[in-house]
Amino acid sequence: MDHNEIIKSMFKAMLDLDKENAQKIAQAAVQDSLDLNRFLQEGMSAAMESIGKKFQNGEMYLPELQMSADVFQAAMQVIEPELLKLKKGYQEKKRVVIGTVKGDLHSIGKDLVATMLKTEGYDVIDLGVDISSLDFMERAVQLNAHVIALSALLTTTMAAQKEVIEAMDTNGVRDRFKVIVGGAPVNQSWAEKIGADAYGENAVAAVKIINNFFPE
Amino acid sequence: MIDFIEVCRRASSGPLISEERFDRELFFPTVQELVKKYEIKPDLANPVCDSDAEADAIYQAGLELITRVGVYCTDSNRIIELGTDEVSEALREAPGPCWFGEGKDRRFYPVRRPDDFDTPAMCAVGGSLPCSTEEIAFKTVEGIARIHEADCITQPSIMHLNQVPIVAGSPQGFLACIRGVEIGRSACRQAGRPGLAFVNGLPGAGSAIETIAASFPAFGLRPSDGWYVGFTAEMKISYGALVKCALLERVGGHIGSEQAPIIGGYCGGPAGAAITNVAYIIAGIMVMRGHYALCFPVDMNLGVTGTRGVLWATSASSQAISRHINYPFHHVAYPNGGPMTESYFYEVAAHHLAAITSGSSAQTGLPAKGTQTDHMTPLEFKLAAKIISSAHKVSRSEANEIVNRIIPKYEEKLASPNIGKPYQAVFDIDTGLPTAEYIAFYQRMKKALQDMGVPLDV
Repeated sequence: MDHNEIIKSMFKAMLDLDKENAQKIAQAAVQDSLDLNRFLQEGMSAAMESIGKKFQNGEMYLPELQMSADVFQAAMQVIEPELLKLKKGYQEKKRVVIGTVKGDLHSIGKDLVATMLKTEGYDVIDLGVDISSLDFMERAVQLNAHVIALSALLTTTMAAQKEVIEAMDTNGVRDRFKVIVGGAPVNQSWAEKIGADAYGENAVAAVKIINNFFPE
Repeated sequence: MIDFIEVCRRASSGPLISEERFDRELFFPTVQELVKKYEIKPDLANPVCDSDAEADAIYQAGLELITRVGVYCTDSNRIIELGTDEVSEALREAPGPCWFGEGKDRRFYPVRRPDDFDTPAMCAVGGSLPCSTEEIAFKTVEGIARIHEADCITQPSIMHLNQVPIVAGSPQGFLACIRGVEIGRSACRQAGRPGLAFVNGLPGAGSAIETIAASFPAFGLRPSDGWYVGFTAEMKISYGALVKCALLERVGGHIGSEQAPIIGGYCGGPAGAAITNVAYIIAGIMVMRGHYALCFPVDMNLGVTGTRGVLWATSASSQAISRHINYPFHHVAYPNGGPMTESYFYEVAAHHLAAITSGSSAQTGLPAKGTQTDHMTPLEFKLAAKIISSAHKVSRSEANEIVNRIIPKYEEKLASPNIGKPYQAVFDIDTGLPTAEYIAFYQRMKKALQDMGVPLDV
């Protein structure tokens, strides 16, 4: 099959949220010795960008974004081993540990950020909600994460973001991670006050900031 | 109606399913299917819906939604299923209007209808925004309680006790809840309104332990007050919330079921949010044993209630609910604009007109999305309360014209932070009175809104 056609059909499968077809096309790309970096960029990442715009415009919704992330990851499972063999021009995924802080049960904003990061190719470990400060630190250390993303939706829980950073300072691991904070009561000045590396005003901004943590 | 023990039984033994599967394989696809089945098509150019047929379709869709998906208990990972006949019975037995407060300050919370020119909306004033000092909290509540139109209020939260920061779930968190009630009661007394009710005596996001402990009568809350108990998005309830309901049902406090369908999230777009808002009302009656509901469809990306999609969902679902369910409910605005911003006043005016002409009551908007410390004052609430008290005088179609004039005044600014000024910049803390600058701003905004057709008694 023509390589351009394979890439176009992958783009369509992604937009159709068709996981099974996406995996088949990814396998075909590998078998046909397609330029996998080009396949990833033009067939998959471009599709995710299009889906992201549709989400921003209200044409697609969070569950569809989550499904698209599943499709993306399913296809990545096929092509990533080949990309790693080649190593040329392919960057191994950075790992993000994300969660909602202790005492806070809100999840939807965190879910959105996690989904968007997955579609950007990050390895995202979502710890869930009501996560203690020490758990954030310990899991990030265990998993060799690169970024810790902390969500808090209440003024009475945002202090836990500071506590996570304090825990890392106390245990001498602060420098190992980039820390980004977000949530309704959080702002830039809070992020600076507690020593976070960044503040994400919304999911799109958070993803851009995390991308900027790792300039190519 | 099924009793609360039966609700507990179903939370413990209903179908087992992961939260992710509930969201993505049951709730979201069912909502999308119902949007298509009932042909619900939001007309965002006309955010105040004016179609009884569409409202009825949304109601039927909401009815079908709750019987097909139930309510998900996040602690047991089980679905509290609700049968069609049970729902019909519960709606026949729905609580109806209620009374808040005591003595001369006792106020009626009506059940309204669309284009209900004879029944003013219930006016809830304030919000549990954080205050940096007890003095600011006291002065704010005193000022709010002096608002003539206030039928009930919500008092702010304090952020520290003797400089010990308040953290959710901590002992000082519980003490702060008590202190908040004490400050609120005392400030209302100072304002000459000792019987004024709290529509939400304690922060809805507080833990069950905080709610139970701080509800002890000695601390000041009364059965004539209200308590918000929240669902989480979408259609989920925790054991903590159920525990609060168990307590309040047994002490006779008013339970306000709190629901916020998120546009862009698991209910999809505005059509899905409208259907979900209806389903929540039914869930609030049956699972929470609610006496009234606090509703706020909200935009996922912006966190505000002033977008066309939210206004439409608010209006359409309010009509669906009020045409069919004998249950009082109100919508609260989450404007992007803070105190002393034009945006605040325009956003709340649009929101309240859309909600109230559609059969809802209303709560004054939480400035700057309710997230900034000290960013609320009695003066913007005063104008919001006047809008709430007069909005019933216009029809849905008239409201739609006015709202369409208002929206361009703020729409482009919704994505940019606009937190306005803190209390201490626009009010004198010693006297509790607004600055001359803020009074002049208030008068200018009142005239601007009147010139646009917003009904406001002078």
